[in-house]
Amino acid sequence: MSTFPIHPLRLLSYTTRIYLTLHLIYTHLYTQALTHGASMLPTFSVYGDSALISRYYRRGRDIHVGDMVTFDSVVKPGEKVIKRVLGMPGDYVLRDTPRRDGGCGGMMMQVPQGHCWVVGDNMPYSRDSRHFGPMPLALIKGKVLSKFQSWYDPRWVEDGLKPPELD
Amino acid sequence: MPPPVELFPANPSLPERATANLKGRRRKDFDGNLMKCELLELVQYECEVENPNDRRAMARCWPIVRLFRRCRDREGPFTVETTAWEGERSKE
Repeated sequence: MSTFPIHPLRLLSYTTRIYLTLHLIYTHLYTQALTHGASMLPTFSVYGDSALISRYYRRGRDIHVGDMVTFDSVVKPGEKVIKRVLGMPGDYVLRDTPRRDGGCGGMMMQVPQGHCWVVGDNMPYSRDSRHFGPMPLALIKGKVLSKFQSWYDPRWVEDGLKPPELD
Repeated sequence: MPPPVELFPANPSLPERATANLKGRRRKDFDGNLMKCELLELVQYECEVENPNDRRAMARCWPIVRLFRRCRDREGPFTVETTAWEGERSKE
């Protein structure tokens, strides 16, 4: 008589299936990531928020201007970052940072083929396309769907690009 | 390495530049009149954290509104950031 309630090989089989299913979900469907840092204030706090990310949008599929995307940091290898897309291939964007007083100036450019232009919401604290230039769409790992505080209270991310509010 | 890009000032050349597509050819069914395109805005911020090492520190943020025009040519929609172009025009 076996001392295991389930045969070890069957247990190994179940464990492997669960692991592979979870791996498929995290790499191809949805994942959750803790966020930290000041570059996406006030959308994400410096500590303690997390983001629900859809992997459907990986490699830039169906991404539009105003979306928030996650990708591998080009500044700190191995670290993932979240930024907002301001330009897709063929769009025209401001390379420089607009000022709080409404002044601007600066130079403009067209986003090249296969690239996007990403900028953090808190511009003074963000290292983004203003520093490393247009980013390949292929580096995008997913799109942020919500600021995810709990399964019961997801705060869905609104469309970043919207008609102007009337004064 | 990102590909080399050409930089240009928003004023006065943005409308003329916007008529070029990715191949450098003139866009079809778009005459360069940005004012006819849909006006959109995207709000970003300039935030200051009083004490970044304190997890309960408050952040103060000031909005910075960026303006965009969503235009269309024969191939579909494209966006043009007009923050500098329209901002400077409005001061004239």
